[in-house]
Amino acid sequence: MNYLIELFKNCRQDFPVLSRKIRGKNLIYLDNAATSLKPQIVIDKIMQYYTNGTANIHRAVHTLSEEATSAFEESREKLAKFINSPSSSQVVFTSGTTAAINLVAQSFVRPLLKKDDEVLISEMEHHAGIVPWQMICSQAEAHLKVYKVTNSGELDLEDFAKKISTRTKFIATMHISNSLGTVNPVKKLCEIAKAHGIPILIDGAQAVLHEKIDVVDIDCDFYVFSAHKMLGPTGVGVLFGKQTHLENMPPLFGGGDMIKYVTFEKTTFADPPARFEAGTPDIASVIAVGAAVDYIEKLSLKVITEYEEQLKNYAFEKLSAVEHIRILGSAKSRIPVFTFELSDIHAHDLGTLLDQQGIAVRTGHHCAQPLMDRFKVQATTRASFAFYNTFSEVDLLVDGIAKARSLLNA
Amino acid sequence: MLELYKNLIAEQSRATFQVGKPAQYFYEKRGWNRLCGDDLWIYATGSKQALELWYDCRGCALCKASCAVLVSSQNLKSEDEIHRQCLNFLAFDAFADEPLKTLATAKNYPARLKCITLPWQTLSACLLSNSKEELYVTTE
Repeated sequence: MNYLIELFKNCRQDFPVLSRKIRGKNLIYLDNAATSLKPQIVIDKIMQYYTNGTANIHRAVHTLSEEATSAFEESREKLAKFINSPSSSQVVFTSGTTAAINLVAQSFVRPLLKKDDEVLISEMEHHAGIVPWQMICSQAEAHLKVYKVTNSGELDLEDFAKKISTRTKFIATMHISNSLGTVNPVKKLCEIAKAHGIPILIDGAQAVLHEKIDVVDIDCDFYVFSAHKMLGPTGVGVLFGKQTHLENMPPLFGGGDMIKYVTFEKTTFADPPARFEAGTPDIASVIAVGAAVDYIEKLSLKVITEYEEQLKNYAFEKLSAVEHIRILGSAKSRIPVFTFELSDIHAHDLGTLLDQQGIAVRTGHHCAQPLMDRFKVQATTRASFAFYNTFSEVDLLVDGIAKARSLLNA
Repeated sequence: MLELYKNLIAEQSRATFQVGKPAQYFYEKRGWNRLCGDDLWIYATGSKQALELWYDCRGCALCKASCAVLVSSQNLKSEDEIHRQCLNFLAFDAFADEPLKTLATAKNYPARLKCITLPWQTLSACLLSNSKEELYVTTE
């Protein structure tokens, strides 16, 4: 274990923001579930594009454009390998997880839905995993069905099986909960969905920096995630889809770069993934995601997972010992994401007072209001860790909570 | 912000003056920031020339302290004067007197403004219209 602690301690120098002082204190960044920090190699890639190679992609024959196109497509290749996609043509760039879910909702599911059909999601979902489905259900006069989460913060698989009906046309579930940290048995869910002939989407936004993703092994129909939660820049998301699905889906947006041929009478759309990438994308950021993948793979997700498992156990033990704390969820399989409430300190006071100590946590409902309702809490505090966090930062968080309590109750 | 907590919020959030629901009242209004859970009731009794203010607040320390300052600074003033003071506070006019002066420094912390302003917005709405149709006031 010592070598892992040393390895990840050394990584910290790759993240320039970690050298920043907040109110005179070293930054302790525990808001990784909202967005991860960016290593210098990713920042450099963005800088390089704008200082040395700005050009649009897929369009011109000049050197800069060829270089940009090559780097852009190289990122697609890297991401395809990163999630074990059979082909890079099954990797569609979007602006984020939310955009990817909306694309599937509107382009794949909406045409399937008829009146009184059903879309099935879990009680654990992020708002991005609820609202797009509500919207299409409303449009089609269909119904959004929700299967339960247990008291331990795990998916209720019995309820899942029970809620599947002949009217279920689509299923969507998150891989890892952004508020409970629970790692869901997505392979099992996909098996069940497949047995019923129902396509399924897995939201991997919280998973990609913590688990090795293998879309072939999971055997999902769609897998979506965001670059900014895996060391990459904001503004880029990925939609993986089964080839046949992507080929049969109409584009959501029309414009340049998504066509084969255009006349005033008719447009022939390009094949996937270009069909879904109308207009100029965030080229610099897509290129930078490739650097993020390189960085993660150099470290190895297996090693990251091994370290985070220890960090998680340590943090859970320490946080559990804090007075008046209630940690939401106690799933056996989880990542180091802890949402909690203190019976004597409001989350927003705690968030503010931790910030005064340089500790960045998230407070509020974590874009999962129905889940907060299910656990009968309103504002909560979330501390979410990544591999560049240390064991001593766990101690400082616990000390920080004690200091906040001391100030408020003195 | 730390100074604000130390100098005012920590103590005022534990204040007990005029806390609770009076046996009789002619005004009542709920302030509720549903997303964060700040939830308060403000009651008024006495007369329009000298409103006696009471409150009951569950929420963050900032909201509780703001309730306490509101009630202690405005208690027994006339309805018109209290309403004018509420509007001044919500506009973050300069205040010469403590603890309003210190409480008003919360304007420098936009993420927490909603907590501070909720009691003032609630009382202001209560005095403008005590209609039961408006279920609650929010600053979210």
